[in-house]
Amino acid sequence: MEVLAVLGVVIRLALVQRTDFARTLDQRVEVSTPVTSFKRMQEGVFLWRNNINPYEGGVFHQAPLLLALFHVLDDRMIPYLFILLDILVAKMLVEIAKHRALDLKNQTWRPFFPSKEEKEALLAHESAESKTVTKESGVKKSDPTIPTESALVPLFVGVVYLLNPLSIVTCLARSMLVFNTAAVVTGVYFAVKGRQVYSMFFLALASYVSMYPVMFVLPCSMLIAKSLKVKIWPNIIFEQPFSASPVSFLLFATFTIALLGVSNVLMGSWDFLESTYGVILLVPDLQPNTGLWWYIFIEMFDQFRLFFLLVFQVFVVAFVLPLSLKFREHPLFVVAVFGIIIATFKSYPAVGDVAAYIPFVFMYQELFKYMKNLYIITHLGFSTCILLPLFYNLWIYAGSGNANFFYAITLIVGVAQVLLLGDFIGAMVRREWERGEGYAFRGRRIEVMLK
Amino acid sequence: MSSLIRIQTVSILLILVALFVPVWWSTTQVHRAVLPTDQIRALAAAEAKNVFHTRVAVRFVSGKGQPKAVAESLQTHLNNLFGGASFHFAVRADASTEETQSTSGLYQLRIDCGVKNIQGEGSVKLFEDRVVSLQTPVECADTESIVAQAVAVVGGLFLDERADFARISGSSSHNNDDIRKVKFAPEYQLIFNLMNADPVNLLVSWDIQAAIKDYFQNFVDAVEKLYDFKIKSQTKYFTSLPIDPEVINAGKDGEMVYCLRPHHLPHFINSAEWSFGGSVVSTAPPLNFVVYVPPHAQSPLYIMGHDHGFLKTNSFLIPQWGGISIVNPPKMAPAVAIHENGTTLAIRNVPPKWTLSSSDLSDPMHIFIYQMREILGVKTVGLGSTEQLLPGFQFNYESSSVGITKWELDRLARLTTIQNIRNAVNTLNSLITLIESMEDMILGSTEHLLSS
Amino acid sequence: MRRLVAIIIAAWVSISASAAQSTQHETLHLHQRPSGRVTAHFAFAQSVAQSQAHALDDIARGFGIDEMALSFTQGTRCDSIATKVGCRPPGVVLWAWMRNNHSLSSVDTRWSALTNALAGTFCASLNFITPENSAEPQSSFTHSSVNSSLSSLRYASLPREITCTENLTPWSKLLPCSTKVNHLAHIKDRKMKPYCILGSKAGIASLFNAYAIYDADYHSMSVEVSRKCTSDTECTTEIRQDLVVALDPVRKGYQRNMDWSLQFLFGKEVAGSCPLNEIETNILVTLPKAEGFEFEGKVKPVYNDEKNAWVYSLELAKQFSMGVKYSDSKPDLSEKSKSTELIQIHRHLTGYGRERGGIKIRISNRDTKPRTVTLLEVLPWFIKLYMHTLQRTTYHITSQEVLSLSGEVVNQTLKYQPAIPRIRPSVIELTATLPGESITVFTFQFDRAFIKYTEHPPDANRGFDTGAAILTVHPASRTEKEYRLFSDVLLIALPTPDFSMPYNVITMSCTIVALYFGTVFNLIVKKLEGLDDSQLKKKWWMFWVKERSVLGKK
Repeated sequence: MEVLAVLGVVIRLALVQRTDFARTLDQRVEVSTPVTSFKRMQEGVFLWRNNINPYEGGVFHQAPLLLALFHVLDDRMIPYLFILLDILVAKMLVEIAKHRALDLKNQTWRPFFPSKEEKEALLAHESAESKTVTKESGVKKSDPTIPTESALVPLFVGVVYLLNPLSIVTCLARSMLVFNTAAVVTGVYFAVKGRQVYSMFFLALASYVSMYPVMFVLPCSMLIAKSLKVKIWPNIIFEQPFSASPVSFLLFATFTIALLGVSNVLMGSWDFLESTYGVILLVPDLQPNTGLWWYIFIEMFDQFRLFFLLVFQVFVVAFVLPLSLKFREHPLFVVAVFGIIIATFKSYPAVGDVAAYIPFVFMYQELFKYMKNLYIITHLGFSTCILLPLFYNLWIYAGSGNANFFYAITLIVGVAQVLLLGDFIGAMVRREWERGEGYAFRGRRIEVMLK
Repeated sequence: MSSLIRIQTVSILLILVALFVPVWWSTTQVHRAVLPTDQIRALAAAEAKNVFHTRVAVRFVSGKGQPKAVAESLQTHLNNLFGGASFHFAVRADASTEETQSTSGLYQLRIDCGVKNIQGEGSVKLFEDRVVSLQTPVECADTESIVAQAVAVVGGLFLDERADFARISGSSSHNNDDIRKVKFAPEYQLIFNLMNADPVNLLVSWDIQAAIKDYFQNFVDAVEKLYDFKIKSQTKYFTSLPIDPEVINAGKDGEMVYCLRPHHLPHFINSAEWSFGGSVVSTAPPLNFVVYVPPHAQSPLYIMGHDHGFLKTNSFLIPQWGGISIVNPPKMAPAVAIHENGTTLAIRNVPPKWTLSSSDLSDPMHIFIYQMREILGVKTVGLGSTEQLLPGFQFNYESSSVGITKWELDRLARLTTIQNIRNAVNTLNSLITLIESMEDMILGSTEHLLSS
Repeated sequence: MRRLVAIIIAAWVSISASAAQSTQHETLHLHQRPSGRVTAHFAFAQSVAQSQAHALDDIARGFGIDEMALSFTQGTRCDSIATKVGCRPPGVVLWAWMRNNHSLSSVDTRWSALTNALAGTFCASLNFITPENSAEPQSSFTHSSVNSSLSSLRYASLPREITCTENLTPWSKLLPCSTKVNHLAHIKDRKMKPYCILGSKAGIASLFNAYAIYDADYHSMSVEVSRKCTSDTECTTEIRQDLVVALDPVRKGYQRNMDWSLQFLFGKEVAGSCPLNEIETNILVTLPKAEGFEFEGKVKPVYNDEKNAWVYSLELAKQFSMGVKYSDSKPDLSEKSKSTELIQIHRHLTGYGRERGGIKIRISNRDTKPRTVTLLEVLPWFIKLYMHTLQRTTYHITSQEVLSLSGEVVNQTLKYQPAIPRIRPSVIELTATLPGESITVFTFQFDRAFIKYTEHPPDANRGFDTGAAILTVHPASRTEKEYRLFSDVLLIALPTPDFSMPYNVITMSCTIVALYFGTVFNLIVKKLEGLDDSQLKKKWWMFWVKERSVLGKK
């Protein structure tokens, strides 16, 4: 497993040496968007060095502190910075996965007590099959209705991130999404550890760079509350009340204001707000990407534009509270779900967003057996990876296709992720039901119905 | 617990929807600004009550007589005569030695009583600067007959105006005067054009600056309060007529004379080739006055009137546009220009030049002033009705050196005011009717409407 | 005797006559190049006094304009040696210096009022000049007589504007000697081909024939207005109007040779000189050969050494025509007959595909000494420039080896105003020194924006034209004047969406959102309920379902 992790790093280092490859990747619309492109960052740095306000024009839309960072960095060091960040992300993911593994091990199942005769028959049955029990799952042997599951290997989650071609591509293209992912993952890591201040600082940084990580504040504050209350991960009783740490919200707000204030001092005015957050909210730059927004807003008439912008933005954040309330015992799961929602519905998504949530999904491997559409989703993922650049080329370069080809594939990407979302949440609902209420139906062939 | 979740989720989403509906409503509705409809409708009713408050000062020249009694009685009689419509008079008495300044709205009546003229009747003279003098053989002590005559004089001066106002506020039928008049604007561009039809054989130029200063400037200054004139001049060359004038064998020597009959005149202006547009920069309507110099091949050119005689003025007016005056050129011999070309002298043909000096232009200028009066709608103030009431009296009028008397100026100002009020009220009302009939029309900025 | 006296008196009067209040002057220059093409340059100059009414004077005074230049051009095959005004790029080019504190409106308000007034005056759609394509160059239009601290400059170009008779007619109406000829009264010679009637009854403008002019390889009609004020109230407006037409007798005639005449080129004769001109009207003819030709026509010209041309003088009221016949009238189409200006500029697009591209500008300096030039580029906002990719390479003009620049040659200043989308264009002003006998190449990259559905023009796949780049060559010594060169016009095709799809796109995208919303909402809100197998109603076709229980219960 360690070999695989090192392999991921080695691939990056090797490919970084070919600078033209990096430039090609940076120019692909699936990888870099107007708010994360490295070429635009170079343009912004150039303008700033020549005393022209980089936020005046329509090219540069990134945060001022990032601009300052790249202003001082040496050109040759930049690719290695991105690789370093990726390694950091992998490390954090491994730590989070460790906590998750512990949590999984200590998961309590509502006991299912058969009668004494049945208990003996069960034990006899079990000892006959004891060789087939694979790994120890911390489950009381006396309750064979609890499914045997393999433990989560934390390093596997890190490998999933490092070896994921989507994240390799994002790192090589030097897209700013790497900063985004790193800040979010670090924020979640510190939340899992219970370090409020650090967690909120990194989340403020993440939402400063791109707005949507604001959604993660709620689950992270739930994580903090949980880890502040109990020392080890949970001894979860069912039907816990909702708890979030209110101080964390305050900290988050403070850090955000501080970051914005520092940016104002750096740039000398508040102009950058319109060019960074205004672009994310109002979508004036309609460059194609893997998301749903660009084509609908190209074809939209002006009088409805504001309305549909509002609708689309609201849909991203509409389920923050409901999901947090429903899955209040599993804030990390909520983080994963939010990751999927953001990657599907944000205004300028890229493959880097997908690479960011996949490790979190892999932390919930026990849910895979409840998911019905996993096969379809993976195949849709593979085929869209091939078809997206193909149809883009047909539209833009060959001229023999039109925009609808590429748009159709982005629709498929959207459908695949919505399927994943539905399946993932459905699996968690099913498992929770089996752990709790539906204990009587464990082990029996049943049909479940939503009412 | 799940029912609690259900309630919470549904309520959160309902809150979002409730927040969203007003946003949707405001972003998709037709923007209509608020208009003061009632106020505008009320304007039409208020219009009928427009009354001009006019002051009259009565003065007995000889010092005899009772000016105060005459003044009171005169006021009562005048207000009875006009019945409170259009005019309301306030008459005061002045001492006989006082000289009053002429201001608009204040008119002086000088009564000279006990004076007989040759026929034994009195005379009325209308002076230029708002003064009318009544010389009556009646004794100064006979206040009643003096008042009766004064009522006839003063009332007669304003009765025509009242008829005009009634006509404007009432029906919309136009008579010839209204068609001739140009629409009111506070600023006009006056363009004096010299049309030189054949510059190859005669190059005409004119000293228009001096001519305007000598003849026209006084008129412009006199109407300063009502109109602002921007005066420009231009010369146009190769301006040939789109019509061919008739050739008539007339004149004392049997010479050939060209003439234009009345039915030619509407086609005089060659709008395809002569560009008379005003300035692209300002919105003031243009008024053009043209001095046309016909080519040698078509001169002398005269205009024939309906009675088959040549017009003395050789000019005509185009309603709402301006006026044209034809000035016939003298016959001139071809000229040459000599200039040095190194050591030799080179001779080349140049057209002979004729310059119209200010005194040459005096006739056309006077005609233009008269045409200007017609176009602006200046109506003469006369004593027609008084003549019927006071038979045997002599009536004299003093003419103005400027081109417009103060009486005429005041009358023009009042007439224009009434007309503008009428037009404004009509326009606003029809605008409101239109807006109310179209529900879906977007009403943007209403600043202009509200300020009017 | 009396007649003679009259003549002499008239002559004396005309010599000493005071100058007319407005003066005018016109010249026609016909320049034939070895390739046979004849460039006819009609130059009209007039000055309008204070109180005179003239449309351009009105505009200049009403908007506070110090200097203004407007040109309507079509065609790219302009011979810059043959035209003294210089070659202009296709379409409309307008620039104006306007006083900063004239009346109460700002320079920008007056600029848009000016474009609309000119649109009305010339029947051209100049109202498409908006702040979206107007620029304020800082260093490209210097050395004019305008005080740049008191006035501001505005520049715009419309490369796609077509010029036709509709523009020539109002333009020629501004000439003093002009009016439309009444063709019913004045066509005497019915053998003449019918020609489109405009121009004037006298002077060189009587040659205007729309069929000839708009059939030309290159034609450019321009107006230059400048106001000179001696005091605050005494101002005169100088108006220069030029019409440059490049006609090709080799292409036009059946013989395919270089002989030509005014009748052949324009179909008309000159109807004498304009009587308004104070000094005589000349027609200058420059020929490619020094001998081996003869002039046709009644009048023979005189050769003028300093102007290097044959000069005809027009007479009043006398029809004038001329022609040239060569002994060897084959045109010389070799390379050496082409123009060899000292400084040339070429500009073209690089890259492929509709996503991005690059612009390459090549400036060659044939002069032996270094020259300082300023390059002005005004590019629309949907060309997203990356100025950090600007690169300069300099080669030697003949040996093609790359020169390494040193000293003051490296001194290159870039003034860049980035574009604000949908509000203003990008303006690049690059001042550089070109070494002697060198070719300098500038390249930079750009991305093409994906613009909204409603922002595409009706012929969306044609693309957008960008205006010409202006190369201002600064004078090397005090005796020279700065002059301007215009580059080519670029056609940039932007990626287009499918225009038939607005409703479909909205429904499909919203379907996915609804799918997500419905699924997640159901999962959150609804309760799971298990149905036992025993409760399962087995249908007749569900034969594979076995009832099974871990506990062995059935």
